Amino acid sequence: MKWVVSLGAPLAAVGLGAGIARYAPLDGAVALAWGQHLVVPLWVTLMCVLPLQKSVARAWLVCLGCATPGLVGLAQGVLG
Amino acid sequence: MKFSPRTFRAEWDLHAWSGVIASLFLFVMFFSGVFALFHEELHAWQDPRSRGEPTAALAPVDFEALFAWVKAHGEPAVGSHVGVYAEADSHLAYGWMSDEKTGAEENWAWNRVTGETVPEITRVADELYYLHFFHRVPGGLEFSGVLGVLLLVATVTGVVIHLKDLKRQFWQFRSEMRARYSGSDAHKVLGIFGLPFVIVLGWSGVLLCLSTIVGGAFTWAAYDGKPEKIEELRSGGVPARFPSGQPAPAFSANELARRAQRAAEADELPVTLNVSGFGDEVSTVYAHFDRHGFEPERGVVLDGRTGEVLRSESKSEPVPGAAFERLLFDLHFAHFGGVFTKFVYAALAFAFCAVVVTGNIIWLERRDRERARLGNRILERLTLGVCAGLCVATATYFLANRLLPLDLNARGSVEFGVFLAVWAVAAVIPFFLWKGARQTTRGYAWVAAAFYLLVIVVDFAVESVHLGSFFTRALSKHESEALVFELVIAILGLGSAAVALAQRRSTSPSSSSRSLSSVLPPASA
Repeated sequence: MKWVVSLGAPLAAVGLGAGIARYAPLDGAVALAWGQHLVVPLWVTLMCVLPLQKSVARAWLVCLGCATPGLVGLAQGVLG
Repeated sequence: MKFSPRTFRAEWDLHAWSGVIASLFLFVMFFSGVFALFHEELHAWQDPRSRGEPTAALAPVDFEALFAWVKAHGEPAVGSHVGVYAEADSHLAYGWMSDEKTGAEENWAWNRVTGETVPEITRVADELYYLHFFHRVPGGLEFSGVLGVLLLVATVTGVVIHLKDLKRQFWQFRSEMRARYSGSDAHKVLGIFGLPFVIVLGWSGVLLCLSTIVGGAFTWAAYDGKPEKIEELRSGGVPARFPSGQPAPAFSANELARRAQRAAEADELPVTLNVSGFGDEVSTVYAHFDRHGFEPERGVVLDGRTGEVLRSESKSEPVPGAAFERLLFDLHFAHFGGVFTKFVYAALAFAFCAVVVTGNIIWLERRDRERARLGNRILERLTLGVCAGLCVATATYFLANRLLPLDLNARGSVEFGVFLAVWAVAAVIPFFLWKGARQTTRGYAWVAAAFYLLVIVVDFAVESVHLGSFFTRALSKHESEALVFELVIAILGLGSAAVALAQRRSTSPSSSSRSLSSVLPPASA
């Protein structure tokens, strides 16, 4: 569980924040502001919530779910 | 609200582990944060040479001359960053240069009246400011950001586990009981009182420390690897400008300052002109003005070659998120309420230092009252050595600042070396000479108190020649700031003495008087 809390939480928070900045149906600067400023609260919330999951696998799944928008954005950027 | 035993246990463990892992670093951050808070005052205090000079007859700042003085130290490379800073009522002006290509960094101070370079004799203010975010350690800034997250996690989980009895914990302090209970009460009361302070400081601190890393991740995940897109969105639509490498003559610095003043509708000239792409065809100048709490930013961006105003914060549409960031950062840096707010912040920072220490006491008393485990014995001695040692080392740093000869070679580095050496020695002493936690704390606290108060005695002895004039004329801003810092030192001295006296009334330490042999594993192991 310690790995998912220490590594999964920040990656998921940044992924979700980047996803908001990229896909939120808002003006570009507003979306960036929301995405950037939500990273810290998301990170802290995930660190507090992940240990409550019933299993480590489920905790990783939560992280993956949060990070998906960022990962999709990253793939789009890399693949052009 | 009551949680299930499993939830409570998980949050309790998270609170304890995040707290104990970050505790010593957080103590250093909050203790040195007090000096970062009083950076201006400490800056005025640290160099007695700048006192007593009349400021009424100072000419307006000549930015042209400041840039000429930068060039006199060696022509900066085309495309490098060059900046100058000068306040209208100060004799001192500052300049700096950094070149990303070569990694070269330099900074200078000048006497604005004579144009002479003022040799550096001390770095106390800057080094204690850097300590606040471990700047001297590679990756220290990012590490501080992670510590900020751990601080927020410990705070949130601390509230969660005490939600059921928050009202009672708010007032309960049983000082007559043993460390486990009195420490626990102090931990909760101070923790709850400082909650808004810690959340704001933690959140804004993480943003400040991790913005580069998070910005880099956003560049790839949200903006297809194009950092200029983020820059454009954050600058309110001003296209990102990168130096071309082609040299071109720069626009008059004094005229740039005047145009910035007009664009910002300010009464005074800017205090800083920061040039990105110095001497380049594509050169950008950022002009900044003195700000007072919660005032809107009045920064102006100009073209360094043509002098054209590219953006003025006071006239342009506010950038989304900037107002929120400004609020957070104004709260972080205490840019409001003047010196009074700084003293309130300092009190809260010292209270948080107490929360950290009592947190470790609770950890030790609950889990291993007899200190049977090696890890817990090390934690106890490290907590005492690092935390109390930092108080002693800082006092020694101030004392060295006042006692070392002014013409000593590399004086600033010698002072800093004294600080680090005293801190290192103080951190390891509890491993060799352990007389119980309370007695050792009392010893450290008395030494710190004596040193802080000695600094004041030395100060008044050294400056006695100026004392008469202190009482017969108005003090300059610089001198007032130095006196405010003198008050900070007095508070630190009296506070240390109070800690020492508080230890006297306590009974014998709970932990046994074990020395190094009990901390380290046996040789045969």
